[in-house]
Amino acid sequence: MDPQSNQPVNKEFLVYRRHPVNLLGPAAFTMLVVMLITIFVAIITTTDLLPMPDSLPYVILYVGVLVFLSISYFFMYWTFWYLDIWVVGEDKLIDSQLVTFFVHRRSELALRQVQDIRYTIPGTLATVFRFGDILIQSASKEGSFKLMSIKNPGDAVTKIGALVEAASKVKFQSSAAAMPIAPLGEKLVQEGLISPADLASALSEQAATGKRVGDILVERGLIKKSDLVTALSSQHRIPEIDISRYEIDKSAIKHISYEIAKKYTVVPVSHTNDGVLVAIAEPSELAMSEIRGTVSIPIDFVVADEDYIKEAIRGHYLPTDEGTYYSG
Amino acid sequence: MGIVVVWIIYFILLLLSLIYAGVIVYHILKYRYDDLPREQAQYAGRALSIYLGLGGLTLLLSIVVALFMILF
Repeated sequence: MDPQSNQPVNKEFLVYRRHPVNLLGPAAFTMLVVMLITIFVAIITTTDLLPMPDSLPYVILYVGVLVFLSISYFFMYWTFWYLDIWVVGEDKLIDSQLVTFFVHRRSELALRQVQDIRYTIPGTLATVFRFGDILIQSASKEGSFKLMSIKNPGDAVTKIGALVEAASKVKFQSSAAAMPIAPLGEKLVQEGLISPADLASALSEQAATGKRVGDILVERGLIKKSDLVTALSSQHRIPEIDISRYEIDKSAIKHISYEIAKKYTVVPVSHTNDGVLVAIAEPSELAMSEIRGTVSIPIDFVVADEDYIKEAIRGHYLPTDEGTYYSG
Repeated sequence: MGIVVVWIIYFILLLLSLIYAGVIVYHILKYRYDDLPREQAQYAGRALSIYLGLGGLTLLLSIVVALFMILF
């Protein structure tokens, strides 16, 4: 396979990297330097410009190193270019980049958390060589991913969109369906976040106080709130979202009434293709079913931190004497 | 004295160039199989061979020619 093409490496994933036109600058610079060195050597060997006639061998030694450095300079750029890739698989996108020497970055995004994909073609060069930047907006903690200088961006967006749609279908088919939901405490033990003794102690307190196990564990400092959200996401097979870093679509707020939002600690965060995406703190089947029963459009759920949802409710719903209304 | 300085500077330059090349080679070898699909990792290996071959040939040729001119 041509490694510089955007074709699938196999049936399971796509590999993208910046358009090779990005290497034109370093390639031109390298060629210019080598050309100037060649001209210099040609001139001094055919004329009497050398101050000392015996110094020619030393000039050749230095020229050898300079040409080697020029080649290394280009290969360094090639290395940075070649190791900067985006891999889109069946369920996730991996962004891997050698930022500078000895600094490597790798981040992943679950495709089911992708909310929007769009591309821009920035300028004349991009138009002529048919490349553009693809922006993938997600509901994950990583926020958005930018795929830079991608060849045929429209085609890439279509392919990635198809994979996102497939990943979302798998997720929503499995989320509310037949698979049994393991208790949260067991999930946390399985993931090694707490010990069985911690769980037993928390369950005792739950029996005595009626508090939720997750809240007890957070209060005791045994897990972080982010761990709780991740565990709930895993438990109910629903994506998680960090709404503290997410710009809530104000026009989506109207789909859920203030009473429902407050009762179930939920807040709509954005529109989906045909419905609305709702962040929920405690994603029980009963709650999700009841919320779905109150609206006429499809609802997809994501799990989010309870405190941030409450803050979002306070920020976006404004109670009035007549009832409630949404801001914006 | 002058020739000694020329040789010292040359060897320092050569050493720095080889370190630079070593750093590049290190990154290719370290990350190619971690980050790249197998075919692309193999392609990176071939590109590395071309770089080392071309660079090595350039250095070697310059040294051989220079030594030949100095000695003969």
